[in-house]
Amino acid sequence: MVLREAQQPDVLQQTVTVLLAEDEILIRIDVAEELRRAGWKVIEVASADDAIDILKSSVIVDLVVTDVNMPGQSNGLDLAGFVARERPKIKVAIMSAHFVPAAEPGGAAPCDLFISKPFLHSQLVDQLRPLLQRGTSSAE
Amino acid sequence: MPSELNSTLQTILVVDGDVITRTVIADYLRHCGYRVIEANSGEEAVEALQHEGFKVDVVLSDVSLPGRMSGFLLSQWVRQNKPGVDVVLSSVVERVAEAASDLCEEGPALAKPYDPKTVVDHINRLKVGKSSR
Repeated sequence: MVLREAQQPDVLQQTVTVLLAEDEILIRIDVAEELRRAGWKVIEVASADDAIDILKSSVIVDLVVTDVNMPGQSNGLDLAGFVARERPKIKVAIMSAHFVPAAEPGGAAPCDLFISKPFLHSQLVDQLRPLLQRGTSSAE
Repeated sequence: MPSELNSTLQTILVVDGDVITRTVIADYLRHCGYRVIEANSGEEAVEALQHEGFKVDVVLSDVSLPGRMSGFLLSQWVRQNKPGVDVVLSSVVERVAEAASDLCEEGPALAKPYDPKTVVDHINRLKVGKSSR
């Protein structure tokens, strides 16, 4: 099953689990299918709030891929900040059409990878793969 | 369920505001050989159903959904706008898992990957972990 628990041995332990936060459903479905085609497990959420909820649970996540502007109390940058503080082993990729990393303090996005929208969904896996090769699994 | 479910790769739209339930049920159905897309709310479900590229055959939805559109309203919308699409409504996780299991029995895979009780147990374990952390 897609969701792995930190405490449980699982045949899927070697599988990458991506938490995808995107409020535009058509984009989310398309990106999720692209990630699943690579053999990765995908947990789809429509808000940063839901993503944080999952990250507070026992579900193992290796990589967060998030939009910036989403409805709810938190946005994608808040989500990236939460990961940096609470689950620092998890890699974060931010995808956005409006956010400009260079305008941020320090000139960098609070993430491991920034993807400017629009992007070719077929190239997404190739862009994300190096992040996972630098160390996976949030099992803490 | 119509018998042609077995003949081609069918698409099931799983609609549930609870991420853990939706993800586990959706993955169960994928293991059964279906193409599965997921929606968080009735409004999202309508958007997905209106997209011609997805060609949804069955909607499996929770009754209570976030937003203004309940599962009942979604079902009504489907009857009026997508009359060829079947809707299965469930209100508790056990019923959702049973409905998914029924779909699996009619699906393209030769056997169910695991029984509905295993699905429910997995969902419940994850939810316990969620509230205790």
